[in-house]
Amino acid sequence: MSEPKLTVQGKILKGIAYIFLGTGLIFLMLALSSIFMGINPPFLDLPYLFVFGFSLILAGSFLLVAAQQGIIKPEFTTLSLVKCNNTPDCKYRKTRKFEENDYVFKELDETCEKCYGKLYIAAILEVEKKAKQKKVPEEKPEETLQQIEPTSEPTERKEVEKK
Amino acid sequence: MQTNELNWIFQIIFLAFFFIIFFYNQRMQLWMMQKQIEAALRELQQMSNEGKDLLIKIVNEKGKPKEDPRDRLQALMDFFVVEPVNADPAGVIWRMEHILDIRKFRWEKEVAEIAPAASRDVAANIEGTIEAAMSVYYIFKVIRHFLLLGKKTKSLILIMQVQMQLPLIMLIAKAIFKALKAFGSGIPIGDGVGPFIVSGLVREYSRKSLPLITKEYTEDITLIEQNIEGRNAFIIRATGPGARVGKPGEAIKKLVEEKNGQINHLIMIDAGLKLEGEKTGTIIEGVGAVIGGPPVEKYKIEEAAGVKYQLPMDGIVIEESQEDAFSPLGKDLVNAIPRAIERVKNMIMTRTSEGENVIIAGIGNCCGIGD
Repeated sequence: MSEPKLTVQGKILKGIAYIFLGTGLIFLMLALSSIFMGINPPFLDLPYLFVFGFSLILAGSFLLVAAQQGIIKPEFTTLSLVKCNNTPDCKYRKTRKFEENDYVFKELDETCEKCYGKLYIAAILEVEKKAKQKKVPEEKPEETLQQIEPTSEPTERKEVEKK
Repeated sequence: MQTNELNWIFQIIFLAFFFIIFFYNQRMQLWMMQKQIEAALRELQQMSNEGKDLLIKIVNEKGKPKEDPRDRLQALMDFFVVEPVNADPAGVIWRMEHILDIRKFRWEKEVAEIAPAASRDVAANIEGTIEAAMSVYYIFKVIRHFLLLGKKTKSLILIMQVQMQLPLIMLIAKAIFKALKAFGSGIPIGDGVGPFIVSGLVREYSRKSLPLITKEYTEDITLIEQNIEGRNAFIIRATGPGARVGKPGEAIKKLVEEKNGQINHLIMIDAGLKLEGEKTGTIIEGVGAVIGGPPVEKYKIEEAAGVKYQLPMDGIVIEESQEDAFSPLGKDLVNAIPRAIERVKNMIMTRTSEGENVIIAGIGNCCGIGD
């Protein structure tokens, strides 16, 4: 399974949590080496090493749990790709939200704005919703489905013409 | 407190810790694994309940049942099929077909009674939804069984086996749950690329000459006769847009026999499982009967088309993961369809001559894909 995606805040929290956990672990190891091997670090006494060590590990664990709140759950939307019956002569196509009773190759009652041909559903697909949408270019020279990269939001009647 | 006394205390704590780890290591591992399975089980239960609720909603909305369908749907959730005995393998395929047929008949009857107002396509979608809901519920039941059995017997091996397979099991359960929603709404799933490709091919050539369409050539199978580059192409696919797979093997067998074996080539198109690292939507070619599911249909094709008439069988597979196969069609698969159509056309042009008869079979679930 792939790692879940995190928000920026989640990533920062996770980073801080790992720093806290690592530092806490070092403090605890120093404390243990002080007990069992008699090596005392000059900067802190034994009880403080323990207290700081445990506190940092505790704080790190809390931060790690908090970072999990920032997991981005992918949201999907289903789109119907509508094309003109006169494809490939007519390049008209648009995407709209999937509606009940839509199916691939369904002939629609609507007509093409470009050549007044009948429209049909060329594909139904699921795309991930993006947080920020890039502006969809007005014109696209593509012909086949192969080059179609549907946006997660339905485009308003978008005509595609040959360059 | 003296440092010496403190050392003693720490020494005792260390020894206690050492003995706990030494003797209770497995118990602690068992406990941690149990917790992971319990968390997954909660998620599975939630999916199962949501699936059942969605199913009831769909049945109520589209089927207009005369009475509350909950009890009958729950009975279908626990429905079982006993596989034929294979200790005596002779004729096992036909016994299996018989069992699959009576199961199908029984389900269709049940759905017709639960959802009397549903059209044929909607009824097929409801059947698909029930099947998906049943699968999620079954996964939940099996995981619960092993968790409780492991707890009861304190068996590390039972718990460990489930815990280690949990990521894969959850992946499949989530994918089936997505399929459940897709069937409910009539959205095409990844498994449907085969019929999508053959219908796309027919659509492309129907501008030049109108095809002859025979619905229900065999049960749930549509036959389309179309001239493709001077060849007589017989296109076989399940009847859409309901969630059906039909019996493509039966249709191919019938067609080959009707034509007295005067078929020059068989091309089958299906979705196939990719290996990790391979790209979804990769198109690969091979030979043989390209069809999954129970072996009945594959056997019929191999026996009737292959052995009896020595028909060359080519296959085109669109690679996808198990998750993709159950989930609604994604961008990668939709983008692969025109490329696959080109590959089929190329295969027809290079492997057959003008005037020859060729069967092109699109295998897969036709949910949301019209003829």
